[in-house]
Amino acid sequence: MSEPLLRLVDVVKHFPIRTGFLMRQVGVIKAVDGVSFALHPGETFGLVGESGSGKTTLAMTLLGAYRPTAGSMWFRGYDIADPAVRRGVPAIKKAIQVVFQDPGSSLNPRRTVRQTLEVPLRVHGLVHTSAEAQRRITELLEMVELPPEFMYAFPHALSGGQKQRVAIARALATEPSFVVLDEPTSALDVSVQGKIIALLVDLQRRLNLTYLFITHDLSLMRNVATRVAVMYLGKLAELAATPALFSAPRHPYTRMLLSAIPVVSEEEERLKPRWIVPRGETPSPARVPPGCSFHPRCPDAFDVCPRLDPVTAAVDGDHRVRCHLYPGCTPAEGTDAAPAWR
Amino acid sequence: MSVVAAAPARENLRRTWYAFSRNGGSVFGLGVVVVVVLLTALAPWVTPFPQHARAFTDFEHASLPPGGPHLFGTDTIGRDILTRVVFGYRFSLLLGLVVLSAAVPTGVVLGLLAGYYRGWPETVIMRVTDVFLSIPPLALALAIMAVLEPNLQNAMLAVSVMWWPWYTRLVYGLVSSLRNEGYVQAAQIVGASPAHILLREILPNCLPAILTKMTLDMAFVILIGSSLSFLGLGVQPPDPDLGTMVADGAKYMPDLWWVPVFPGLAILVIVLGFNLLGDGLRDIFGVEV
Amino acid sequence: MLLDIRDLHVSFTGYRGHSRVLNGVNLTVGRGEKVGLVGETGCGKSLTVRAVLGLLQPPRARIRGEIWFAGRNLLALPPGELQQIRGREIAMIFQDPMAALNPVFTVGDQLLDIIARRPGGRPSGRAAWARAVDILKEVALPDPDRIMRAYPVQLSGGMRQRVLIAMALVNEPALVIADEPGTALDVTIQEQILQVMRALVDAKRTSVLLITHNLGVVRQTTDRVYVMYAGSIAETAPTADLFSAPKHPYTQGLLASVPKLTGEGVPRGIDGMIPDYLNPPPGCRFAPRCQFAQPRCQQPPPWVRVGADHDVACVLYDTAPAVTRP
Repeated sequence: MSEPLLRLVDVVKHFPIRTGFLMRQVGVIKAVDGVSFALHPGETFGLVGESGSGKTTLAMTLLGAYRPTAGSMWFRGYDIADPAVRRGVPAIKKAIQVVFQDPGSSLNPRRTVRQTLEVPLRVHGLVHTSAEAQRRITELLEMVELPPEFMYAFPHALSGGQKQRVAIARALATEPSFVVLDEPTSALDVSVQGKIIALLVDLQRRLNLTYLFITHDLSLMRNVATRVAVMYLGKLAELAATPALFSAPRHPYTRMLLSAIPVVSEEEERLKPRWIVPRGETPSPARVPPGCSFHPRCPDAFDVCPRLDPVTAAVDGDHRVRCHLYPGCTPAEGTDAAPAWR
Repeated sequence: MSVVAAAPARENLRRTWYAFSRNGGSVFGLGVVVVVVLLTALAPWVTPFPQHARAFTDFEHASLPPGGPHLFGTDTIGRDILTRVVFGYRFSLLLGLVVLSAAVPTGVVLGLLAGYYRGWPETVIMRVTDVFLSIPPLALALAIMAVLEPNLQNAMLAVSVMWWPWYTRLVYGLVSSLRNEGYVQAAQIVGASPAHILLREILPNCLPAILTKMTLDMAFVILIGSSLSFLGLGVQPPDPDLGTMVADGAKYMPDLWWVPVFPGLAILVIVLGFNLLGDGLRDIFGVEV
Repeated sequence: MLLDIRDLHVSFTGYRGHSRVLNGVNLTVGRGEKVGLVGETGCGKSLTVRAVLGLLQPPRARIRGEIWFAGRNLLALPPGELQQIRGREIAMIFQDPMAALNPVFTVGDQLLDIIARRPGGRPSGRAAWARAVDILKEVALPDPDRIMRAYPVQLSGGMRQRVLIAMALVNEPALVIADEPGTALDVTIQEQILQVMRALVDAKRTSVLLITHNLGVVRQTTDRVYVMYAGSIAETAPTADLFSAPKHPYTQGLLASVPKLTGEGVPRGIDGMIPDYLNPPPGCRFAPRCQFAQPRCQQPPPWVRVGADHDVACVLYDTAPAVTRP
């Protein structure tokens, strides 16, 4: 098994809630509350979760937009949780890039495609003259199957799919090895989605990229990711290889998610769990329920669930779950629950 | 693939003009502003009696009603009112220009900093701004003028001092929402400097609102300037100023009605022009100013 | 037929010229029927809805055709009468609840405001409150009294969407038009919302026109589907038939583009782009992207019946007996 490209260890990100004239802290939003996993080179790691799950915050923390409240993130031997490390090693910023969801807002409407693509090139000193920039930008546009003329266009003249291609080109400008894809096709029509995903898969192969693929579209995830992690209120609920997660989901939340997928054929209906009526809605990460944070909505909750937070355990080789229903997840009461996760 | 225009910037301009010209009022406003600015710039050459704009008396031709060589009539010491109105526009526009040149960059920079850097810079800047904004503009200007010698420069100073907070508030609001836009985050993640992000990513997206506000503000500044002069606190005689002319002429109503009425109408016209133009800009930019 | 859209053409004069968007839309909704209108961005489905609601402004928008609702042609009605119908007999559920709810009024205020406009006079204060609480219970909102006193911003996205549904259904309109309900919400909440809507609509025999680009949602929620492409209807069929045996190449391409839980890999999508409405292709507007295109496709496609209530606008099926569509 090759060395992981990225290893997260107990990453925590809390946001203080400030209010009042002098902005005093009155509470905390536990956006990410102890997440650990490892990413292997060349894989497409899927991250799934609903609103409030913390998946976007986790991605942003990985990218350096937020500094983690606690925990470490190991990338090529560096702990990128430390902002000093990120500042000191420019290669890290070049190696980790992102493609956002909404092509409408991920491109500056007042700047041409060329100006947008030039930013990463100039910031990292990858081009020094206008001619060099022109050449490199033409190359990038070719990689995403856009003609060079597009560099003079403003975003509003482009279709959703074209804008997203430009966003991908921007991510590739620094020749990254790891790309975070945060809902890259959610704002696109389904007939366009396939082409963008095909492009991403092709680029992954050609450029040896590793992807963190975030989406709420489980049908898409089924076909794109090699492994999938399910997040709920800042913690991982389940993590498994894609076929295993979909055919044998263990965590009640995963089953609830899968049962809600709107599918388009009878065949697929048979593949998903029966519809589980969710009780209530996801609570706000500012008010996380005690014990297992899912217990108020869980159809299988029992006596220990409101009291103790489960820990992650492996149930079937690499299939890991964090739920009291499974052996190894319930720490002995009274002891400190040390995460058994590496 | 969609058709990408050969010269996108020019295309944008044409599209903007198309949307703008839908609204007759806006085009009218633009016309008024352009005409007034041109007249004012060329005042010494287009007015019939440019020398009347300085210290001048001609009691033989005083208090003439409109007609003949004096389209707007003459005032009580024989000066041609039309000429003085056009030269009066100079002071009004100059006031507007100077005030905005001072207030806008200050306000915008402070707004950018407050909106982008959270924490105490934001708190300090915005609380100071709040204090200024809570005082009615004219009252503040009067208070300042009360301690300074009344003249044009001090009037400009007074108005500038209380004008910048509006821009800080405007830009602060814009930056607060724009900083969450995808392209700003993308620039941050790539490692662009804060200067780049503020000036090249965020500021261009604030420009429509700033320009619209500046246009509408010209109208307001001219009004305030005229009010100050009306009260004797701005431009001093014999320099022609629309507010002063109205004040001086008011006592001769209704007999020598043309003495205050034409300057008053002139104020109305330019203020209306800027307001219509600003409204038009607001409509096409879709800003909330 | 409750709603009968006949040969609707809508075009706009804009900056670059004349856009012919809607190109002869024919659509019906029967009483108590749940009809889906499926199409991708730019196909004209929102425009169709706006035409029905009378929200298009001539002279910039040029409208031709007829929209019959309960025996009256909406396009020929004076604005006053149209306004009576809107909100009372036709209700709309918008996509974004936060945009559709007024943030400065409580839910109760807004709901009571709508109840006051019932045909048949306004009910008394107590009766109106009771009615409001009832409808909130019917959309499965817990603690309706608290919700009545709450402001929209205090509620979660799912609750707001349910309030919108309540507001749309409280006066028991004949037709509800739902524009992408639940799109902005988590998939579990969306499923809940749709179930609530289905139950309520079945109970009251309200007709529904559901606009969406999500095929899975359409499959679960509707009885009959219209597939729209570039301003006209490509295919219509009972829902089960459309999904098991799609006929139009666009419908087939669309269904093939949806990723499947069976894990066959990511589908290719459909090559090409929607046509430029300024200069649309003559005849079938899908022809430039269609792998089965023939010279005959330069003519407007025939409307052919291929099964029970299953019609397609495509020359491929022209051997079947033609249906003359009024």
